[in-house]
Amino acid sequence: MPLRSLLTLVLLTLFCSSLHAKPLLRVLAWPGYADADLVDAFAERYDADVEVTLVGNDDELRLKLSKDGGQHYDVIAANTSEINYFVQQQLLQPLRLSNLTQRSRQLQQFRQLNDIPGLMHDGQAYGVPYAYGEMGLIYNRKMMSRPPTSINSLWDPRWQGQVLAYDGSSHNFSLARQTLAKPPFAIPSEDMPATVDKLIALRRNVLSFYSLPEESVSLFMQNSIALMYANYGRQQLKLLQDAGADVGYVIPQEGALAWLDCWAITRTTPNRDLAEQWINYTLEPQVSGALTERHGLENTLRTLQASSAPLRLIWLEPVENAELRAKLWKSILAGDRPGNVVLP
Amino acid sequence: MFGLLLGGIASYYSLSSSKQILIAAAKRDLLLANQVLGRNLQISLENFASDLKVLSDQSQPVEVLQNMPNNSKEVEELARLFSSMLDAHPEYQRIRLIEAKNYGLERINVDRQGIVASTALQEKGHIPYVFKTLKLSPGQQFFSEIAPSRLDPDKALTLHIASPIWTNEPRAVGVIVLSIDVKTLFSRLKRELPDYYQFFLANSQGELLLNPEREQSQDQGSIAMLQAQLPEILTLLSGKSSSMLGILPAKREQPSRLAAFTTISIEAESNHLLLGLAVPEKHILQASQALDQRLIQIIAALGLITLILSLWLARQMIRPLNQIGLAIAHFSQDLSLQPLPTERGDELGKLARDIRAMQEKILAQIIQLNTNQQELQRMAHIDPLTGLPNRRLFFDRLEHAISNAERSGKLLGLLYVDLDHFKEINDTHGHAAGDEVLSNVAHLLVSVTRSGDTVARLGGDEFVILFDEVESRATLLGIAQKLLSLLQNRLLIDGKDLQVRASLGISLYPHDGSDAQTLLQNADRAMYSSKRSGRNTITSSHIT
Repeated sequence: MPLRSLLTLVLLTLFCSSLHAKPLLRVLAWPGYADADLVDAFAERYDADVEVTLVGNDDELRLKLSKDGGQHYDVIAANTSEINYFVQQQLLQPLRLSNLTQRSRQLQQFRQLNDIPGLMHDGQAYGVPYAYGEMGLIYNRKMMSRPPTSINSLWDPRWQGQVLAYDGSSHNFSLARQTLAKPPFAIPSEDMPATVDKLIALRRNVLSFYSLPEESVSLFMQNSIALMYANYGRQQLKLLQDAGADVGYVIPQEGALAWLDCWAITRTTPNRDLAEQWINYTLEPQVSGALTERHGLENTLRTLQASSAPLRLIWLEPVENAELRAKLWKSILAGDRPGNVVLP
Repeated sequence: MFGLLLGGIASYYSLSSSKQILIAAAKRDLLLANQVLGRNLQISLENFASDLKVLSDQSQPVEVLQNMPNNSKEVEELARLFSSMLDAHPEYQRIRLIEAKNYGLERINVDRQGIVASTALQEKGHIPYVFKTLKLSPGQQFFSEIAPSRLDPDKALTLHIASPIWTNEPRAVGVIVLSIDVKTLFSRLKRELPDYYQFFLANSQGELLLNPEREQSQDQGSIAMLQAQLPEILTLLSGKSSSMLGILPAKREQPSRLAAFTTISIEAESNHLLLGLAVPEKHILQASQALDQRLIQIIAALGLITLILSLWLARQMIRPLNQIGLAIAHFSQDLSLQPLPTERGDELGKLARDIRAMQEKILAQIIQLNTNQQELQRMAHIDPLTGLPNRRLFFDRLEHAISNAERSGKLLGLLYVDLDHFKEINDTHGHAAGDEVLSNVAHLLVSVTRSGDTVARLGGDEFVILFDEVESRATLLGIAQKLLSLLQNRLLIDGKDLQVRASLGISLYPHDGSDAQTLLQNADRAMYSSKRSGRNTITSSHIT
């Protein structure tokens, strides 16, 4: 019976192929860091399946990575401050820098990991810089005759209901501290009520909060928006300009919080080699270049376009108590009135 | 074999076409189920909207929002109304009255736990269901996007429907928000479906809200976009069509599935939901697999029957054919008649009977031919008048006898007889009488011979007798004397008394010739001597 034997052969082939399953790389990253076409090219080159999960803020990133000891992801992108936190939580493993050959393409300043706070622990490197940007202000040229100069504009009652802010606990607390002219990353507990009140005031002045860059664009286009706190910086600026908005971008006089996102490998990954290949892959010019060309993000391979004036960038640092900030922010975002936000 | 092949091909075609039919039917069912489901969802949504409209058309909300003095009664009434509505609809999660002032402060908030204390009421002005609804004109309603919570994937999926509350003022004074637990709603809708159906719900971005794949794979609620799996879905998302069929490709832990998607408009604008149903292809094919097996069984059974039938037919056909062939071969070889399947009732039987008839006819003709040939042979050697051997046969016998005598050394005798005056008898009494005379003489001649001897008529009135064994010339002379004396008697022929006499000549082998010709010539010569000597006498050839 030739048909029977053919059937057996087909079944056997299927069986074998299912036994020989492709490795799976699970990437936890931010919008623009793992575009589908670039992911597909990687998957094909290394004959792997790649599953990308995108996050919209650091709280979400923490939540996802912390769940079940980080075993749901292999490689993640987080800013230096968050990398520092995750190392302390023992969610990451040291990098084998000798395997990350594509680092040689990076600018000197991004290869000196010792000089970047939060990446080195006990002489071991935990993160490779990939993208960076600062959180400036985007303003609507049609509504604001002059560019805003200060972060305080976000609280300006003139623009009540015409401001967009970012739904992120840690950054918002740092932002509030900037307007209060206090150190942004360390809030003494006696200062916390004032900071919370400041954020409630922000909530009362904005139209809404956004998480993802695309969300900010649709809110901007559908409503009358004068000013926006640009958590994604020039990435958002590019998206808005592509959507046809007449917008400008400024770094406020208080300085802009700046982030440097790095790749890191989880402690529990079963695919360490593949994760290293992923990091190498993203440092290739066509992949890193896409960050800039497509999304307006800065990559680590080229020097920043010469700006007119030296920008005041405040690199993110670990904050005094991220959980508390997250808890308080959740309450603020839900709409609790000043007296109802429970402080410890 | 050929029949078997044909049967197999036919079955294969019927199999594949029945599979096609099954898949087409499954597609129709799926699309229909999806449309029914979509319709149910649409009706549910319309019911929610009309419930909300009833609420917003009441007078109490306006009174509460306008802060009329002593409005605690209205607040209480409205809260009770909200509670009773929650009781009546399990999918209602929360109903709120929110004012436009005070940053969207909630005035009444009733959820499934009861009425929320006034001190715990929150400001919701920054949330779309407030700031967007406040911009609507009277009668319009807001439907929120349904989006999973980024920070808490396990949190209930909520659809907020909101109506603005208008008074005489130029702006809406507040909103009523009805929050619906989408999972409860859909689990109710899903109960009407068989459980092998996978149920998808996506918002207008294509973001999967209810994702059966995620339920199984314990995923951490990462955003899954439907278009990543099914790029054709973009035609639905862009509003170019309202329903479609597609194949969801197989991936980890998920088989390849047949899926139908329908858009449900929950607002006049672009805000809509994508409702999808998927059935694993395996499941559709299960039905066809049963059919396959059935068909294969039928084919196998038919094949077996065909095989047996063809073997039996071959046996039935070939055996009698072989028998007939053998019979014909034997017949042509030696004309023997072999058994034939003449008793069969079919064409072969008829053929066998025809062949038998032909064989019999041939045999009869051959027998006839043999008889005729024998007759011809006899006629070639026998004198028809007297029945005696003629000259040719006589010479054969003489030569045969000579060769025998040559070996045995015995003597042969020839007696030549010629009737005297036979021409006159003929002329006087007619030919018939002449013939009669010849016949009688023949009898007479035969009567004096022994069984081994040969009497022959050489022609006319000439006879000759070959004596196979004679002891001596004297013996032969004795026989001739006896014959001559018998010829002295008168013959009564045709009522006439006739005197017939003969002249005799004798020759003896080997004395009077060693070959037939010489021997006969000498006997003839002796006979002529008798004629010259006056007839009715005997002369012996005597060469010595």
